[in-house]
Amino acid sequence: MVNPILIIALLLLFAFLMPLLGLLHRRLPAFATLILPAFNLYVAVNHFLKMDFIPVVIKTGGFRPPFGINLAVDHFSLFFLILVNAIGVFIALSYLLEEQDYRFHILFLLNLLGASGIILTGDLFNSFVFLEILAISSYALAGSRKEKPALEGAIKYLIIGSIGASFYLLGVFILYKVTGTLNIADIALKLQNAKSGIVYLAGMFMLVGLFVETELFPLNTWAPDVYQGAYNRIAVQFSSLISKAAIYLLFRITFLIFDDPLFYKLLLVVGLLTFVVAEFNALAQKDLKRMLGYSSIGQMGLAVLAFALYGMISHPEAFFAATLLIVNHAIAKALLFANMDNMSENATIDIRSVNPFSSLMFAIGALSVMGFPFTLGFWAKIEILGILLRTNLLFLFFLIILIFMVEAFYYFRVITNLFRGETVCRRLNPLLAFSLVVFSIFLVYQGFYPIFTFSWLNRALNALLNKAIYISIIAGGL
Amino acid sequence: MYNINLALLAILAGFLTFFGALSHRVLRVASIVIGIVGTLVFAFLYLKPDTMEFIRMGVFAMSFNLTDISRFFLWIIISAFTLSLLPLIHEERSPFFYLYYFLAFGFASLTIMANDLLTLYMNFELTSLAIFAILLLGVRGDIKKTALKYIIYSLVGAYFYLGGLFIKFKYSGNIGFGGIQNVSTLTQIAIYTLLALPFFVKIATMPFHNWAPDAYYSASDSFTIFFSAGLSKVGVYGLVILMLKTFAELFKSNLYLPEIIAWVGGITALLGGIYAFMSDDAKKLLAYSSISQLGYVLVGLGLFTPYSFSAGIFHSVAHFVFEGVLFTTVAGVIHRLGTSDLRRMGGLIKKMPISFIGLLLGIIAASGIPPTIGFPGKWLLYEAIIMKGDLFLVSLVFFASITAFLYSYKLVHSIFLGKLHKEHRDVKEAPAGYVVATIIFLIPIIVFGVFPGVIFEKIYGFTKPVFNHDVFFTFNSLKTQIGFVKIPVAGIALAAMFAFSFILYLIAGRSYRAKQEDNYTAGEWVDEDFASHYAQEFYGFMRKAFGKLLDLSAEKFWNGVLTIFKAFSELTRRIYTGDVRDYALYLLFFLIVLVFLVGGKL
Amino acid sequence: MNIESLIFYGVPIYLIVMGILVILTTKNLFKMLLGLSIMDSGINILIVALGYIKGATAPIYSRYPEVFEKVVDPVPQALVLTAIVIGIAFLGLGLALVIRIKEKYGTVNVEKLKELKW
Repeated sequence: MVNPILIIALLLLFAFLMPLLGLLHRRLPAFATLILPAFNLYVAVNHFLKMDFIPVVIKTGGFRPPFGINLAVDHFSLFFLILVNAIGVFIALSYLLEEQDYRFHILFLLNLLGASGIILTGDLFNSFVFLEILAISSYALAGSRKEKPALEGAIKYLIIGSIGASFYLLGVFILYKVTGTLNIADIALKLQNAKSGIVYLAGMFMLVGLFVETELFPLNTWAPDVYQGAYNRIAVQFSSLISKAAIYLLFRITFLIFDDPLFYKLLLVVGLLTFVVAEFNALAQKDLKRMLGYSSIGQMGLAVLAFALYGMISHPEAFFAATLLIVNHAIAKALLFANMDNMSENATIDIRSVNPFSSLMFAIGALSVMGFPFTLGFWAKIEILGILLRTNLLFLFFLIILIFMVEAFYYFRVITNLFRGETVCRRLNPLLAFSLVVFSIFLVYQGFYPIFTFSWLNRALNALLNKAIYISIIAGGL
Repeated sequence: MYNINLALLAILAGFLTFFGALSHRVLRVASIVIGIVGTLVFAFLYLKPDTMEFIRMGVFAMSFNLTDISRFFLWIIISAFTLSLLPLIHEERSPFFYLYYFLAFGFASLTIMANDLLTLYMNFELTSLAIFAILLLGVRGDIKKTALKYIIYSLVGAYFYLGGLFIKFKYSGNIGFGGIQNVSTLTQIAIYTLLALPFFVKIATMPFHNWAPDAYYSASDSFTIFFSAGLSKVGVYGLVILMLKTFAELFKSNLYLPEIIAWVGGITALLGGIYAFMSDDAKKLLAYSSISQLGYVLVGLGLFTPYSFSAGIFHSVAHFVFEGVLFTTVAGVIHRLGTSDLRRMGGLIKKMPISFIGLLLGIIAASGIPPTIGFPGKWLLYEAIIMKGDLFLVSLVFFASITAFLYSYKLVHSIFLGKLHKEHRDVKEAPAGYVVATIIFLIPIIVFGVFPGVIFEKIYGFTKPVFNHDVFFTFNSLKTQIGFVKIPVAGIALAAMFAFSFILYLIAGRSYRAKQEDNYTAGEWVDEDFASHYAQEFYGFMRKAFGKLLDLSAEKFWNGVLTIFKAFSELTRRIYTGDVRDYALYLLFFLIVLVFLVGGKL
Repeated sequence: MNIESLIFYGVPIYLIVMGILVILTTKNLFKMLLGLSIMDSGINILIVALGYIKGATAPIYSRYPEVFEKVVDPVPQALVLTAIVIGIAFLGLGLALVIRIKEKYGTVNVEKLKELKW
């Protein structure tokens, strides 16, 4: 089996080689961008299916953990790696023919590198570095479009993101001071029993950094602007790739290191606030991309909410619901944002003319985000309602249902306009159309028969929940 | 063969029709005919009681079953569907329309065959989605607003249902149709309300009815036949299942719930009738009539006595038949005239005689006159309410029945009697599809009107386990503790009255064959433009009497609710001020809050 | 809390607070980036300061073991090195964005940058 470190190494290598490739042939960068996530996907799937249920440690530089930096590969990381790289393939394939400028490809590969690195790493400072790689490349990507909205969003994102990242670094360092190590598993081991007050402070600092990337309230103020302004494929990247890698980190760190009721309660409140505020804001929007952006933020809030309920009910179903929601959202939002290419510039919710294909794609994506029956999102919704009911907080349960109604309203408002507008036959990028169709078929097929997603998800979650094994193996450095 | 193959075949047929319509008109007609024939053949040959599980995932499996109740309602839907397809042959629609049509039928049948609450929900939602798609292809009115209203009302109801489903699961441990034990009455009522809500929306109970008049008005006319006669029965089915299987004990024991629901039904019946005779549009009038008649059904179901429940179900069958024929004939008229405005119609009796007879029998049935199918249900309902002793409710339903006479007469007079407009001089009878459908509808109007026992037998089959009552009917008569009616006798009595007046007319010898115009001009010679058609300002005096009532609108209330939501969203919007310094401030404040949170631990 | 600790920790904390204040109060985008930079420097210094051990020397591996007795913790130094580089990266990027903003908007006044809101 291929060593997963190749994922990181090759991404880095090709990112640096890009200018050279660009000189050799103008189409070469695009192909490299397609091949790399595909390769990563192959490696990840291969490991997912063939690996034993024991996390694997990959040493770098010959040093054993907890002294050296290592990668920690278990099914949960592999699952997210598959998700992130699948989205990477989607983006690369859809825009393969169009993007000639190799600078975009460099940024894309670096972004992917950051995301994959976060998912694979087992070292806390390493996670900071990859987080920064992810963040900086996303600042650049957000601002890559030379229009006013994009630049505005990018600079706001940059400022907030940098502050957050600095605090994350501070938090990492405080943890180091307390535990003497930077290895995630080792820290978890040392903090398992007694957590001193300063650890909580460190946790808070780190959470501030992570909340910026995962678009949680009140640090997600940059997100609507970026979603509105950036190119559509960048919006796809933000909703389906960047935030998903960041939320992986959030889940991992909270579950392993900060496994404490206080943190779960905090995540619960923040997730709930994010969800409520974002969905209501989406209701008030006139610009279609901004509305979709708020919807993305809301779904992230809902996922964090579901995750945080584990602290209350201690049932693994909470993680299942959260991760299923994340998968559904990544795919559905990718579909929605990429489809925006088929619609006019500056699309508002009163959109007047579209072609039937893009209306259908929008409808399928929207139905899946809403959780309509026979889409993948339906199962996510059912799971979330199930765990909400387990908490016996009826007020919360009905509040969430109410927000679901709001969500249905603003999505159907657009769908009504889409299917009632004049039809326009716009030239469709065939590869984009192909990717859209694949994703929509996946959503509907999994809606009918979600066994495939469920079984993979269960495997991933078993790995996550097996905290003891993770810690012992990785901290021990076998 | 599995029962759900019916639905799957329907969906397949839908795709076939889609491609057929894409290619050629003849193919379109041919595929519709195949659809009708195929559905009927399959239904006759292959439907049998059978349970089937489709997907299994842990605790949940999508299961279908054809119980007696399911089969009963499924037949109504199949009949409504096939009959509504006949007029469709004459309408020119986009290919997608046919696809959605078949999909709506397919998912509606799956909904009725569902064996647990979640399967029901999933297929019910898809039915709503298919109907939404058809509404988007509507032919008149504000289509966007109508379709959006429909889907939002449906979805809100469905989300409440979902909430109720989960709560029921929590208390009973399953999502089947069984009852819940060891739960307080209040909780049971709450769960019932949550679960029943989407079905109340579907049968347009007030105050959730606002989507219906616009939807019926906008939709293509043959679809409205299926919509009213067939698809609303999905709502009735849902209520029947909930009341008979899940909450039977609750309804039997609780004193207030049946009364409340019966009153809601009664008010719907009355107000629906009032709005009906206030309408100046044929389709809107029929829409309100449909709402009103379903109100009677709700009274019957809600009161939950053996007679009232059977009456309610019987009346829903009657509703299918007479609303079916009413919508078919009106659709035919609209097809020929190009308008649905009652004030622009008139005097078509000689031009469209078969439609006239169809409409006439339809409104006779809607008014509940023997020996049509509208009579047994209403009679039994009155008996049941009186037996329960609820005289106020009887009065309410009685007044509602009066409105039925009013709008029925308005309908028939405005279209077929009175003055024939100049532009309609060359109007022909409705096309073959409409006529054939009308004639086919007329058969059950009379047959099941005279022999209601056939249907009551089936109803008895699935209501006896719950109510444990004695047989109260024979082939052609009904008998309760306080009353008895032999329908052929009533029918003969009615016929005798007609015969008597007819004989008088024949032997009096003073009759004179007048021209149609003399009918309403009383022999005077009037200008063509003279407004002599009574359809203008029909019931104008009523408008003065009831005008204030029309201002009271549930729609305004729901719009107000929506405005509150939008206002809240305007509020939360302001958080995102656009100024990056504010954003940094949020971050800082958040950090400070977090630090305070852990302050105690330090 | 001796005077040493006060200087070692007080100065970076002061820098951090100043940096944040600059970001919060200035209207000029360019100055905001400078504020970010100051904050970053503050954090870096803080980390190095926290890694200091009294009386120890630089953590350079040498052939002479006797000097090898007491060294400062090398990890924070590595951390900070990386953090400085990251700081350069985002500063460069930020400046590029500011230049582009100046091209498009004609100003770097933050208050004019409110086209996207709500």
